[in-house]
Amino acid sequence: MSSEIQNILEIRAVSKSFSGVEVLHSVDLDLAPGKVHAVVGENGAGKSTLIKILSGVHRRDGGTIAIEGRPVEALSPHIAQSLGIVTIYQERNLIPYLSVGENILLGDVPTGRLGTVHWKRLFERAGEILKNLNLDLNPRETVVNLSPAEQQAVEIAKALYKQARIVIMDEPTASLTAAETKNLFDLICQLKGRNVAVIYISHRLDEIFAIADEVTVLRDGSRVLHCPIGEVTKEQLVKAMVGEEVTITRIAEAAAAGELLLEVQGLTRAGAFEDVSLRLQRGMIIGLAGALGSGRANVLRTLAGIEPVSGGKIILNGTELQGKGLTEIIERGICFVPAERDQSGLILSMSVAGNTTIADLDAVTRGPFMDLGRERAVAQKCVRDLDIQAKSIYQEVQYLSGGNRQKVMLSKWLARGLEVFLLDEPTQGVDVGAREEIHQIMKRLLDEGKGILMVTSDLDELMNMSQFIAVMNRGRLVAYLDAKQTTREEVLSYAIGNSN
Amino acid sequence: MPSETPTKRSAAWRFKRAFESQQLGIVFVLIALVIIMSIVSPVFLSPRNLSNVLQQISTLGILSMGMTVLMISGGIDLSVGSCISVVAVVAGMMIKAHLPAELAMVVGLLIGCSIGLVNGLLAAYTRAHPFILTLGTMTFFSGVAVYITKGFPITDLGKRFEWIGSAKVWGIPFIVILFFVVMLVCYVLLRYMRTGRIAYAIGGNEYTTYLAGVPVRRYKILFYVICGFFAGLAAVVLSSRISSAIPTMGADYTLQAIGAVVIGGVPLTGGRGNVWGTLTGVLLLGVIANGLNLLHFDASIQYMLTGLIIVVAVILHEQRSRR
Repeated sequence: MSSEIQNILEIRAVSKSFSGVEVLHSVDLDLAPGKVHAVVGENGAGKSTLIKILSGVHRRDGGTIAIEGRPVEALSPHIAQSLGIVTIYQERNLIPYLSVGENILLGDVPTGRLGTVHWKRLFERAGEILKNLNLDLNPRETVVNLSPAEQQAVEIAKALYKQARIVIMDEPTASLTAAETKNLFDLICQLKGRNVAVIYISHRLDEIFAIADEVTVLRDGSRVLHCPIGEVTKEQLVKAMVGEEVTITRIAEAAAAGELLLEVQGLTRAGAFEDVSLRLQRGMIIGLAGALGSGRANVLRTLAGIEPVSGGKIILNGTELQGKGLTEIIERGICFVPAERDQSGLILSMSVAGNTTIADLDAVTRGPFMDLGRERAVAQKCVRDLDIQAKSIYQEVQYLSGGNRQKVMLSKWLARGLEVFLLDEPTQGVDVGAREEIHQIMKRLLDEGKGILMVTSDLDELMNMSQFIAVMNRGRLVAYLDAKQTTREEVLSYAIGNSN
Repeated sequence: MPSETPTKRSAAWRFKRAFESQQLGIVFVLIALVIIMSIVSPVFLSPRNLSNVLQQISTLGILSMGMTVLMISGGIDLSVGSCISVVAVVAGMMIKAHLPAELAMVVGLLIGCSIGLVNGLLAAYTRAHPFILTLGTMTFFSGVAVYITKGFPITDLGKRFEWIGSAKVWGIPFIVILFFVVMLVCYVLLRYMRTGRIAYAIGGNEYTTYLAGVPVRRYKILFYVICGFFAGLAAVVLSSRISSAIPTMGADYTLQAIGAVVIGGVPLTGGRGNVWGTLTGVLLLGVIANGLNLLHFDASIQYMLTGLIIVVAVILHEQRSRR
């Protein structure tokens, strides 16, 4: 070891503009080997631009980058890799129909005498790497059969095989359950043990406090805070990210009252969940907790009429609903807001206006014709009410930020006067500010006497926003808890526990 | 914040957007082509030749408008060419059986709708890609057209049937008017009707549209029927113009129509595009065909040029959507 701990990466005064707009202003960042450096900030704060500069996707306009004291001039994805910088993006970069082993050794596949692949050696080597990481994965398994968490583990194994010295993780836990997140943290600790430096990007602040050694906050392209993680509180971080105090909406304390709205009796969907009973009153929000695959999302989808009911009753305002199709269920007053916003919640190539009115075309048509004037009025009201930031109501949704997209997705249901909102991960991938706004919208719905059934993997959200928490485990409702009287630990123990 | 940026730049920004979204690039190519042609060939700009160009593109134009609606909704129909052949030969056989020409036309349109319905049902109720499904129906119906005629062309369809193809209204060929009416109908449908809005929505994201409570299947079937109807109309126009029905007469039209729509800016995934883009595509193909004809080039050159333009146009559109 040298006499002092040298930074493996030093970024100085890096700036970047896109079409004349500066998105990074003279940002500094240091990275020490064996440390996890969290980078946080709202969407559009410049996090992804910074990562993309580091991984060679974008070129910096100014500033210097030095790796182990040696300045690096131009970076391309190829050069970045040869310098040992590996980025693990949100969308997985593995080749789905190849085996785990082939993916890990990709580009360095051992060959036999005739230039053919030496399969035995390939799987042996891959197996060793996996074993070193304590990963219980078969190197011959095809990647497409793996869960998101397992795929991520393979990416980390791949990074280690390539002798990565800097690993950049962009929202690595977005699609992981609590238990899987813990496994990921174990892997990160192993990386630390091997003196790999990690840049960790996440919206989930409790994770950052659990895993990071230091934290950098970006806001509007500038570094506004940098300190060891021990010297900052969650409130200070949020304030630095948003630039102002944020009051956190809490529904849990609010008294739920109101008449019975939706009653679910012994609802069963073969192969997904069975015997789920819930009573949702007006002004009430129930949080559905549970691991991924516990059936919690299936409950929402079955209530929405997307998945078929195998047994049990759904009673809305005294009328039985089971067996009805999706369209009719919407007409009766239940809507479903999916988790995969861009894949199933929005029409990205369509305007904000088109997206806000698509679920209620009756309101903006006269006979077979569109009433474009009415549509404009409806869309403008949505944009105003939800404070959607868009150039105009005719801007395509794909050009909006995540939070604004989320609001557009919600907006199409708000104007219709529906009664029950089934929300699947309502703030997934949304930054702190927008998340708060969405929570305000939910609160407003409750004040109007609507009912909300929410699935969320975000424990903060679950604890703050639910009045009651229904915990699912392997397709069964194992606990129904009053949010005021329960703890995270209790919820988790029911969600992960093996015994009922 | 994004809402404040484009005050100063807005004119340039708007022009750029217009350039990109209205397929102005293709329009410039078209204008350049017209200018070159009018210099090289003195007869090109003569009223007679222009009228000729418009008549030549009317069949393709009518067919392409239906295809535009369908492709915006994310569908595609490779069987329109076979549909043209079937409709034409059935109408021709009816006339030869001394049935009234008007009845032959109506039956032709109904056959077009029916073939569209078959494609629509297949596309809506199976998970197979419509490209492959309609590749199947294309082959099937091209067989049908040859089977029922035993491969022989039917000629001399009579004055009453020829009327559509030869009539003029205020000096303008009737089929040209028909083409513009079809275009206007599709324009209104796509721009001002609920059905059109749903076409863009399904093409943009079918699952989202389904979750919004729109009966997606019903509309998908409708778009195939619309496309089939216009294929039937194109068949009537074409066979009336040449006063004959040939069992392979539609074969070339499928790829021409899809080419025109794609040149006009509708991506294969749907969700974007408009009738003006398709009109540009149809005019471009028409001017190329006519120009090369006037200059006595071989028809093979026309295929080569058309192919090149489709490739270039698709690359341009692709680059636009990447950013």
